[in-house]
Amino acid sequence: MTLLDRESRVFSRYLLGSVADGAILATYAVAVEGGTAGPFPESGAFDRLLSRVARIHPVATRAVDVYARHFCAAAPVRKRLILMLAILESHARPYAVMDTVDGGGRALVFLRIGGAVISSLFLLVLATVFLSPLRLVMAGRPAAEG
Amino acid sequence: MATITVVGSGASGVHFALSALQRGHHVRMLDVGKTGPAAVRPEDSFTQLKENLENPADYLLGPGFESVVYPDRSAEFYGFPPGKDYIFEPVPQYQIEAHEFAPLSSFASGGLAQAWTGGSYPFNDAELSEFPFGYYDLAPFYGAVAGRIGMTGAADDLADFIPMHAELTEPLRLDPHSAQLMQSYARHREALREGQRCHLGHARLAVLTRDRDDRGACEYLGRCLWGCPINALYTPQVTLEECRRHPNFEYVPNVYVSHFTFGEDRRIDSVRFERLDGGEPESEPVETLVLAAGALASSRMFLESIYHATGQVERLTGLMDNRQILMPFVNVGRVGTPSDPDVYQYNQVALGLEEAAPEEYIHCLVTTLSTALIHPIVQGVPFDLKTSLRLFKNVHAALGLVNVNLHDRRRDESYVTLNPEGPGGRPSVVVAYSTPDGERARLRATMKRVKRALRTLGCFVPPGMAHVRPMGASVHYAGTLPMSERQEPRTVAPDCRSHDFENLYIVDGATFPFLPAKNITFTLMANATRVAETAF
Repeated sequence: MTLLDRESRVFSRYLLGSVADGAILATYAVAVEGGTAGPFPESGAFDRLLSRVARIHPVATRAVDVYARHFCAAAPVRKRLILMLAILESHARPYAVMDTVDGGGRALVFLRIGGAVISSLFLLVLATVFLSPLRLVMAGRPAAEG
Repeated sequence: MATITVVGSGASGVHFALSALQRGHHVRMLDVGKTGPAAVRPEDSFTQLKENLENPADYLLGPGFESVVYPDRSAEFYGFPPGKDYIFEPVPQYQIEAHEFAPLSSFASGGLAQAWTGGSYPFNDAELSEFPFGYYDLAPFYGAVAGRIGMTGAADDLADFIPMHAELTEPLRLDPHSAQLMQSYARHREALREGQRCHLGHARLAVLTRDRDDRGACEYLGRCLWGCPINALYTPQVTLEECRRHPNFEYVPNVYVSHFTFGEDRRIDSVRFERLDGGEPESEPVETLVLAAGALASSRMFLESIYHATGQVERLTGLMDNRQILMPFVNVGRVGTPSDPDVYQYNQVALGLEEAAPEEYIHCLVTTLSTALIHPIVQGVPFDLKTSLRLFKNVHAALGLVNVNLHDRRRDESYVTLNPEGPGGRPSVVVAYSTPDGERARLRATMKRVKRALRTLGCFVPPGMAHVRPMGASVHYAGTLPMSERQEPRTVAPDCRSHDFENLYIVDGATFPFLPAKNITFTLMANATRVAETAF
């Protein structure tokens, strides 16, 4: 399995809860390698580290994502996550998953949203503690050394 | 009957041309005329399209994924879909330099209004007070255009500010969110009308609710943002096709008109143009010339013509555009309800805010965003994408967007001129806009009023999400060659005949002496029809 295969599987699991079908993963690969915004060059060692961590597991992807959202919104890894999201929402089945309300009534909906927000904030704190010092250390190092 | 040469096939050009043809004139239309792709699977709804296309990402995001919105691109809530790229495709001959202005230009067949969202709001007497005619002079032409293109409307509270004219048909079926807003308005009508001078009503839309000729009524496919596949939502190409079926009409696409030439008697004798597929510049004689290329492009032709004849670089002052504010909101009562994609997608509800001076009325379009792409919206939410998606799917049916439009006035500091030594050795058009004094306070006060009205309707604007669009974004450009009853240079007469050149007419937004907060496309079409029917 190539790094890109692994990345597309982990990213789709992160965004969708399950691995997207092969055609969607193939579309993602084409987009990353040849789309107008691709190939998403990682200009520094820290960008490369974020991508590596994000490919490990969906939980790690989420931590990297929330960190990038606040501290480096245009990081290549976040752009690739947004690209995956755009491709997923273009297809009927993933879109249905992304656009179906949580069941159980409004109170439960608010509870679930509250839970998601709290865990996101927790991951943001955790990611900041681990990634911010590394970002300082790696500042200015080219991607190849990462 | 005379042959009239029309430059441009946008909203003004095609309605001028059709009226002139109906009056027995010959019309020759010169146009760049870029065209878009044919409608894909016109029978499919938005959801079916995603199921039935082999690669739906190609259609929704573009073959090169160029419509994906990334965080470092402009902070809009939705971009133009790939199927509409042709509308904004540039031509190398037209170079533009802009200061404090983000101009959009179109060389499409049908012009910028190919991306029109159909909002059709006639100007009232107060808004026409600086024009050399009033509403009752223009009303027959509003009716004529509405009859031609199909238009919905209802005599509700907004009719106090948006006059009722002939040929309106019943409104579209409201989407559930818009219907809920209307119900909420009915409950709080007194407080909103009397306490806040705020009025809500049906949008006036250039959309068919009944079949007519070769166009079907809206089928609620949910594909409006991507271009209506059944032409229920009007675009000027519909009227251009009607013109092309007329024996006295000649359409000449693929040409870029650079300027016109004129003699000592200030009478235009020819137009100069280049074919887009190459070759030397050509010219052809004209009897009567009608500029309908849009305020910026018509101004450019006017300026370039004077420059070529005299060597003088002139400045056309008074450029106007509607300032717009995008204010996303959440309707608390709809959180946790499912969203319905099979609805009309653009604004079905409009909100009007009275100001002390009636011509300064603020016009707001309320859109409920059911098939807008998710990724441009969720990336702005201050969480990770997974959390943002959870939030989104539960509030999707509760999301809306208010597009606030503000009036503008002609000022000398905002102008169009030429740079004679533009790129490639040809003159480029220079657009400069100067923000009026007190703009910040005006924006703050307006946002405060809109937020208050939304709160009364049970909605709130998430903090930090309101977005003041740059000048130029509304694409309602006007005012550079205004109508005037006084015979002054760089103006046109009430019948839009140039005061500078006796056989030149200008029928686009350049001639508007004031820009109300309402979308101008409908008034452009009505005015162009008025000129054709009263001056020819």
